[in-house]
Amino acid sequence: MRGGREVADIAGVVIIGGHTVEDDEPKYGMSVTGTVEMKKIKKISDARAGDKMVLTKPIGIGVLATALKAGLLSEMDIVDAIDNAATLNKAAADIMHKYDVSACTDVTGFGLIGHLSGVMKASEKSCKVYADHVPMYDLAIEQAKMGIIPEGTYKNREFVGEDCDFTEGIQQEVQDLLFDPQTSGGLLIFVAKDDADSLVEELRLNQDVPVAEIIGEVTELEEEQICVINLS
Amino acid sequence: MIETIDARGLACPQPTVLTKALIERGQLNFEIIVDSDVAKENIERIAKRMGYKVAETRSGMDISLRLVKEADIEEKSEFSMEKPKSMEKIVCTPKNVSVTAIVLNSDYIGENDELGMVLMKGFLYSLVEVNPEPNAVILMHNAVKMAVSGSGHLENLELLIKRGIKIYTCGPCLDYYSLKDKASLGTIVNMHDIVELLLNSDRVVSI
Repeated sequence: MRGGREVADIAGVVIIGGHTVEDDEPKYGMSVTGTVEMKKIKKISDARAGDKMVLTKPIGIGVLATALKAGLLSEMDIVDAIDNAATLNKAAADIMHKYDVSACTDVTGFGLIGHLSGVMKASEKSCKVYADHVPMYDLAIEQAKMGIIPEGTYKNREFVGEDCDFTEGIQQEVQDLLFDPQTSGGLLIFVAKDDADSLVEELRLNQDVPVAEIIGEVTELEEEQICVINLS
Repeated sequence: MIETIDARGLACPQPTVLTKALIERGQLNFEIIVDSDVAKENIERIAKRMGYKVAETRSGMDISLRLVKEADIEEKSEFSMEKPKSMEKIVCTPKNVSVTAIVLNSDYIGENDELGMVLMKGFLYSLVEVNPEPNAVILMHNAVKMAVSGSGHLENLELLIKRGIKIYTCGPCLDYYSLKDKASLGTIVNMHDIVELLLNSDRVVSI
């Protein structure tokens, strides 16, 4: 409770009430109401061809949580991932507003490709994902190779279906991780090509932003909505 | 007769964890039955990674996966009636896999005296040698002291780990003794994990 309150303070949110539910498993959630500056809203429908895509947290926490549940990893092993999940996206969001950012989404339960697909459909664009530039937890890659993959991954892949194409040579575990459901993932920021490097540089300098990587680019609408390639 | 594991009804990722355990134990040829495509997909991934071929048969909701180590396929003659030497004799239980867990509640046996300490050392040493070996050793209460750097039991515990026996150390107990920051052997678990481990074991030996 105190932890939630502390993070709400950082986020600039006032907790004005709540109610308690008794159950075997503890649950915690918040419902948020407020006002938003219209000109600061970043929608998922405004991505432009030529924009670069920047990701601000590594992916793979779904696999790590599954491995933890199976007793294959301990909490100590995945302390980085837990810390990153406990980090607000506030710092990244504040920085993003200084640059020519067209659209933004966060990456959570539908996985990176799932949320990316939402943006592509709404913006009526296509994109390329540089698989070898997507930040992933090393332990998640290792566990995914061993088949420790949550059910959500398969559901996410099925949902996107034919809209995502993988070029040859993208390893199975990388494909699986691109659909890995995230808990409290990072921001996927769509930024003008010319601003991309500066945005990434400023994000990297901030200690409350776990990573900053250019993971792909937006193109005009093509046959394949999402095309995953290895850039190098 | 190949060993068959019934993994139906087990929550993800238990079927994959079971498969991994069998592969690590050196089973070259076995069958595992699951009831979900997710379990099937996960098992196919680890099988491929570890060099096993997978043959699938479906019957209603059941998916039966036959795993065979690739090198083994070339070596076996289809007319051979001999069991491969690698086949271990497995005690059949309703689950077809016998899982034994040993729970240690203190770092001595009997009394907390010289004899007690010597008995525990001997006990752990015997576990290193005995066949078949237990699957897991769970350390609770002050038994956790044995797994921490500086303990005289580390050598034997390391040998157990080398044998493939999982060592589980009670996290809250490490906390109580302010040992959580010290390097320790084994996987740190909480009480929920321990209860699960015990209830999923066919046999529990408590010292």
